[in-house]
Amino acid sequence: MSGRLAAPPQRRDDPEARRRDDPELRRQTHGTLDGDALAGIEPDLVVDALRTFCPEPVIRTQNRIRSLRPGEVLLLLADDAGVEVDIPAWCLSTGNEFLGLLKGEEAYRVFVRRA
Amino acid sequence: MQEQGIEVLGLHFSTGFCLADRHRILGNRSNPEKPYRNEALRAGADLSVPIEIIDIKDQYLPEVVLNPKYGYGSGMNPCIDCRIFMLQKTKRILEERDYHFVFTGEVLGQRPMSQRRPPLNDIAEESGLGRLLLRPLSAKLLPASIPEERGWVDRERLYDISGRSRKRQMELAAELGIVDYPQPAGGCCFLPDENYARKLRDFLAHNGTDVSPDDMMLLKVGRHFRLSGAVKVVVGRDEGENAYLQRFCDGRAEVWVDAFPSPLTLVEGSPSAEELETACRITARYSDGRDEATVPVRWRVDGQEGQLTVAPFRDDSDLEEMRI
Repeated sequence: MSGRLAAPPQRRDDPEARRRDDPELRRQTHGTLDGDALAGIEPDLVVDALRTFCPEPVIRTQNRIRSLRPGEVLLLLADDAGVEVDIPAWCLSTGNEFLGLLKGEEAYRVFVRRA
Repeated sequence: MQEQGIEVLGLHFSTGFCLADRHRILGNRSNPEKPYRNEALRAGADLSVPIEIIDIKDQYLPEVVLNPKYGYGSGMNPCIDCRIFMLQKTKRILEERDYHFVFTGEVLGQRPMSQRRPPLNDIAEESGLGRLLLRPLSAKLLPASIPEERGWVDRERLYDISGRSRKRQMELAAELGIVDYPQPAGGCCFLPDENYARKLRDFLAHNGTDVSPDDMMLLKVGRHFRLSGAVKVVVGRDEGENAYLQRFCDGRAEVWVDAFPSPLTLVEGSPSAEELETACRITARYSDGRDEATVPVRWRVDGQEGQLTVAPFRDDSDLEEMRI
């Protein structure tokens, strides 16, 4: 019996490792602006998702950001901790820019710039 | 699909019955600093696929759950009607945005209700997608779809996976370098769960089909006891559930114990004095004062507050009669 070794399939990067090792990806995941810069932003649109649970804050962001022009900034108000992971992931998947979030006593202020 | 040069849009349907959403709402108890993820968004981020969440909560219960043409699975899960409904929505998006075809992760024979060959055919036909619907994982076991016939997708590079085992999907994921995914066959929907189905049936029997999203959210947590046709009690089981219930206090009576660690209990409906006392006894039973002769229990109804000193329920058989 004879055989021939096939070339191994090309592997993609492990996403966990990519998130850990790629500075640009890390920046996009953690927010591209620091807290001082975020605090100074005048948003073009404020979306209230207080007292709702994920995925509702993402749904509201997704639906309302369409009314903005590219480059304009949406501020999401939410009190569900899920926004800490969901909004960066949504931004990574859709190409919008996750600017960062400010975590207050009562609520998160999450900033997204429309692609 | 991406490796075949297909531009992909991921659609994630939010039904309000997602088990993962409940876990996320209650928080990650082993690591509160690390909230659970939405797996659809996470996968979209990892694979560079834009994800759009389609909110179908308002239509899903009346149009799918309450009167399914194809019936229920083990609980109140109308899996075939559910897939038809979602794919009808998908077809609308396909047409509005000029996409060419739809593909799903369905696998022939993987699920006992919706993924046998006849239901797969019914789903394709009744969704209106017909042969525009491609199931890449089982494509070689199914008639060629339009995307295959027209050469948009190379059928030879698709798969012939069937049966209940997830082994081949896991091998394929490893080949593609996809290592970060939720537990296979973990289930993602409340509706097959018999405990949830019982609570939902009870709710529908007593409240009719005029159901708000909050009503559905409340069915997801706590111990539920029915005191009468119009009055029901929901008792938090732990800190996470108590915090969750806190958001639903408006319009409901609240009951709790100050003297001992205790659940938050919500009372739905307008409780009589006797029913309020029963709610207090149930709350005392699940507080750390359960072994005391009497426990002072606080209540708040319509802005009025008070306290009742009650004997906690001793005999769980009394509770079982009320438990939903």
